Amino acid sequence: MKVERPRWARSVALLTGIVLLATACSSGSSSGDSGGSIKGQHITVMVPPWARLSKNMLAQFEKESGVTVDLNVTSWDGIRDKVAVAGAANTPLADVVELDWSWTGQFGRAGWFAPLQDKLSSSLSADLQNSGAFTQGGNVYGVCYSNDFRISAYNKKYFAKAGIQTPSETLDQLANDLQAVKQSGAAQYPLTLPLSATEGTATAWYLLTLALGGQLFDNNFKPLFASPDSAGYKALQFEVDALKNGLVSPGSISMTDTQADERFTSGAAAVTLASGPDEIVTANDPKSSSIVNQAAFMLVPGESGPGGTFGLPEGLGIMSTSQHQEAGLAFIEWWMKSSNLLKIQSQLGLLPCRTSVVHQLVQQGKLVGGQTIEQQLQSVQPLFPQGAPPWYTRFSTEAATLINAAAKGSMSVGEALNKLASDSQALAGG
Amino acid sequence: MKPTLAWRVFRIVLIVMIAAWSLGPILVGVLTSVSPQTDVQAVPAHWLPGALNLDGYRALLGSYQKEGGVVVTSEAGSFLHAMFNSATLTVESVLVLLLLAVFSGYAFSRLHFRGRGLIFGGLIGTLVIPVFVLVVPLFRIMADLHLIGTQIGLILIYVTANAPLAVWLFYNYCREIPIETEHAALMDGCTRVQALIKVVLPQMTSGIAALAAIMMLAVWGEFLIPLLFAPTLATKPVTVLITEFFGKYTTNYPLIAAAGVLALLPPAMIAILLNRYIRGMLTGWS
Amino acid sequence: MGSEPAGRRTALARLFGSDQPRRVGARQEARLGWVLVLPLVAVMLGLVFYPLVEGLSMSTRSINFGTGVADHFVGLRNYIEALGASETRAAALHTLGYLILALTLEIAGGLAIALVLNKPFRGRGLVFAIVILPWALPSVVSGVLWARIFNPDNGLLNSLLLQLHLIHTYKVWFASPFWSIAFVTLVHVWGVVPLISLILLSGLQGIPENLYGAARVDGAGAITRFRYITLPLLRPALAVALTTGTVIALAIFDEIFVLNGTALNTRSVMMQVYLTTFQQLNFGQGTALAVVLSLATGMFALAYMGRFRRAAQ
Repeated sequence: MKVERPRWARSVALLTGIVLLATACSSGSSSGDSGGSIKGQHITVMVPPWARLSKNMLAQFEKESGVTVDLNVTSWDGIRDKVAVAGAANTPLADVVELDWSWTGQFGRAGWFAPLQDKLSSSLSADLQNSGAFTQGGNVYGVCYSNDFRISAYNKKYFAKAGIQTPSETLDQLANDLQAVKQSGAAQYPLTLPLSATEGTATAWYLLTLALGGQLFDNNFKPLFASPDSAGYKALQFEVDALKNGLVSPGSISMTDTQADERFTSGAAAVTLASGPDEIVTANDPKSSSIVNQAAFMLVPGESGPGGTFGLPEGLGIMSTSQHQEAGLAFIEWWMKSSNLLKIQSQLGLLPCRTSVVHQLVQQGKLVGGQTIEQQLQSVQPLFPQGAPPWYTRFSTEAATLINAAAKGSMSVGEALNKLASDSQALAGG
Repeated sequence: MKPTLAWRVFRIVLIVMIAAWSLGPILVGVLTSVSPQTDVQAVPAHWLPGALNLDGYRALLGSYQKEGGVVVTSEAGSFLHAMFNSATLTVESVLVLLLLAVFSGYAFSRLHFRGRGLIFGGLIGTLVIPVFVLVVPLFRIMADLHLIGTQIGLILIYVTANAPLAVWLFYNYCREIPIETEHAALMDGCTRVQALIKVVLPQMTSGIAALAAIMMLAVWGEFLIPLLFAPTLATKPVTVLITEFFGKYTTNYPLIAAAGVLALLPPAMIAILLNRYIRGMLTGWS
Repeated sequence: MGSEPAGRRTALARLFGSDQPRRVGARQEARLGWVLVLPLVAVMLGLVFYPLVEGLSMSTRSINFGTGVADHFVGLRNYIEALGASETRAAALHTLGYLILALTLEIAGGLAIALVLNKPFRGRGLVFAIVILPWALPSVVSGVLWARIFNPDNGLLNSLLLQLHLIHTYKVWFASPFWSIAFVTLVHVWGVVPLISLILLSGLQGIPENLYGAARVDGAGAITRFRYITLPLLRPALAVALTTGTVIALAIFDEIFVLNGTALNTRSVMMQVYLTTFQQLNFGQGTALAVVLSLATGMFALAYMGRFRRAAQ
């Protein structure tokens, strides 16, 4: 035994040593592109399922640029987790990666994405909407490929049954119209609104706050929603009242945005406030909807007329650890060509972010509800005009959780918003 | 001594209850998988499908044309590929786990060597470490060794994640199994290794089968590890692929339920196969 | 657990009338022992212990990508901040609730299932397969199905209870703190019971059959046999089952998120870990909280093992 012990000990030490050595030696030493040709390079692109480009399109890019592409499709949450782990480990993940507007503050601040403002062609930058949403600390980290924003939709048939011919323009009018729909018996709970402690709940409240002409924060990130005459306060009061008055289903307190939206397409509700630009396409598809040809867009009702809304755009960014940043950039520029954006819109339904392309789509009548969409796009503003702060995600989770508490009645509207205000001040301060 | 009638009735009732408990939600899954999306969304929901809808299965098994707004966010064939990945990864990992657990479990329980207690304790101790503590350094190690997206990389992590439980179980099992046969073999002039392979292991088939079943379940269900370490369809298992079937603002219920139902088949078949090796103690109970 | 399992060994030796093996060839035996465990030790060192040391070191540094604070050593500050947060205390309380409820149900249910499966009967293979299905169902799918069942507006549970006249109006289950915790636990238990039953079944597989035969000859009834043979010899497996159940229950997260989001009345510690690490990108503090969670799990595990070893002697 005495003779053998050192031998075993040595092999174990050796093995551990090999592992340690392997991990110590190969980190770092990333050399960017030397500015030469990108032909023959290979890039990895990580996108969520709704941005899965067809094989034909990718082949087209490979033919044009000589760059081969590996498309890694990953669930949206999965991408977030992976970027975080790879970023914290300072390890390459992919070259071009999905950058949601809500991640920009954090991931930009962490230095995980490469600044793009000096690299994009100026004609593209000028035509792009939403680039403010991908800006953090003066740097632009993402190029918008999906022009998602919130818009309302209503059921024309239910409204007509209640004797209403036009969509509601203000929140007060909406409340009256919804009461009328309820009275008419068309829908027991005519408004659908997520109130569970999930992200979509916060989104709906932000939307109503903007629609009422307000903002969440001032330029110094001081919360603007705590006082009872603020837009944010009125917005939440509207939501809680709608629940109390039977306009919203009591079950909403445990419904996500997807589940709430299903109430609209199933015909259980007459209005969905915070839906997206593809809502009518979904509502007119007999496979997923029971209200085919009944739904239409409605500009988000506001204080004295249709109000503002905000964008939730998704972008493509380039990771700082990428060894093929130029090839990645070439891929993004290629995606943004008008002809490709039109093709992607027809295949995947992604609304482009280039003003000229959206206009073209509307002109050609290729967007369902296109005119309302274009009209609503005029009033799209970023949620944070100064760029999303790094603590946005935490704020948003807090907001959803506290709105849920207010809806359940375990907190009053004032208590919930005061807590949210003091929490966010602590976040902004530290 | 025959079990009394009351015992037998009690046992049948129990079996029915167990089956109902396990199958209830699965039945909801089967019904959802063949229902039209509109039936699932209806208020109140229609639990029995109004019309049979096999689109989910068609999409997964590869003969589906995209129609209207119900976008199937996956390419034809990818589901079967992911099922195949899951199956290979499970079989390979379980084989490695069994090999390691059987031999080291035997060594820990029956052989005396210095450091045994310490190593065993350290090994079992890792059971309590949540993957969140390890995940960042582990990602760096796997990236440096170029093992991300490889089968070997995944198998290595699956093995380290599940070995403590496997070894502990087999250690317990070895201590319960009578030791005299091994002694007899040693007396007959067998070496320790010969005794282990020729006499001890054949005696342990039922324990190994039970262990295999446990490890199969553990590996089949892994999610966070393959999410991080299996980025492409070359190694991506079905648990990760299914998360890609969710639309941004829509849930295609029939498709997701169909994927879940199909994902149940391989483990169920393996369980039926393993059943043969599980010993039945006629006199054990009732 | 590291020490000599003397109590058990002598108990077994007494049972079978045999003694310890003669210690001839002790050196070969030691060498064989090392050869058999070395591969496992090697991978564990490289892929668990080395990352563990790194992880522990992360928990003592100010690694917060959300605020961009420079990475430096902060001692136990992450631990103090993580434990001091009022959300953590609430989450710890909920988690304890989940743990106690879940373990009770899992051990009772798991034992019943294991005992049924331990006896051969026609169709046992089928029942065996049925029993494991809940675990084999991918967790995202099971989340979607349970959300359907509990949906307050068109869920199965509501329409079932209404038809049975047990309730008169649709219930919003997750409005009630009690039902929220109870239903989250139920969903958790549904998924975990298969694993617990198989662990207990593997314990039953180790119990020598001839013990029962002998007991029968002595005229012991089923309950007596269970009480004096099965239960004592099942203790090591019970310790494994309890430990595994605890590890999984203390890591409860998915079920809560799917059914009730981040609502304050159901948050668990692991959810705090996830939110801190992945949403706030505060890796230092998130890792610290995860380390605390594993220490707590370890203490539970030691308690089970201590309890069961003493009981066996």
